[in-house]
Amino acid sequence: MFKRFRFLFLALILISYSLLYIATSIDRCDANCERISAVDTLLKKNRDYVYYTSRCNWSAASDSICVWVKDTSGIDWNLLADTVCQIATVNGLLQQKVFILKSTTTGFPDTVVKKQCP
Amino acid sequence: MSVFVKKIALHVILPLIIGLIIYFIARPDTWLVQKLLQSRFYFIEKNGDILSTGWFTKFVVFNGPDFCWSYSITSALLYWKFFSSIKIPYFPLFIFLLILMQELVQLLFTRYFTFDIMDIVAAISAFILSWYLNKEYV
Repeated sequence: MFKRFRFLFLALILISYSLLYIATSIDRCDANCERISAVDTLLKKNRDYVYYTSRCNWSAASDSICVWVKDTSGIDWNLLADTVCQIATVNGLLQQKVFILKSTTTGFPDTVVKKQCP
Repeated sequence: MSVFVKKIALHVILPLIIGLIIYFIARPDTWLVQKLLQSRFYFIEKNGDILSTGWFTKFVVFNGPDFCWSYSITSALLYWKFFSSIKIPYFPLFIFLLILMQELVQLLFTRYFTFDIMDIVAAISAFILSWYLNKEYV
């Protein structure tokens, strides 16, 4: 009987362990993280030069938003920073410090714009 | 009770139960515990309490379940292969890669999982131990 249903048994073993694996996950995204995630989603829309948006550090008291961008000519980075402020404000993130950052060959980020949102 | 049933109980079911007990006692923040127990009781309230304890406690709490479950799935798959009588070359290598993958995939889903190099050490140790103790089924 075992040999007849051996692949069913294998599937059962793998599915059981997979469910256990998923059940031990933790959703670490709190309200603050959800807001940043919303900013990230809106900012990346129609802007292929935006890699991603995140907190510059994930301490609870952080009021800084880091936007990582691709080094692209012809983009008004100040305007992008203004847009980040607008989107952040709409999402309940007030008076944030916005950093527009691009990667460099040295491995250290280069701050293109730093802006304090009103 | 046949020898095989005892083997399954010892090498597959028992590690699973031990892993679950560690979660129920010390990891109240996981989906598993929150849904099953609704956080009504647990002995250690916050992971912050664990962080201030010794390395062995931290290893048991954070890496112990990975060790137990990697041991369990390795044993389960070795038994499955033995009793299904299928010739699969390098089958233990597939199990090893599966275990490694389940840890490395956590790098892609950092919102839901915490990648920890010690989890990989625990998982590989469990694989080796299970393989050694069940070598007649390899």
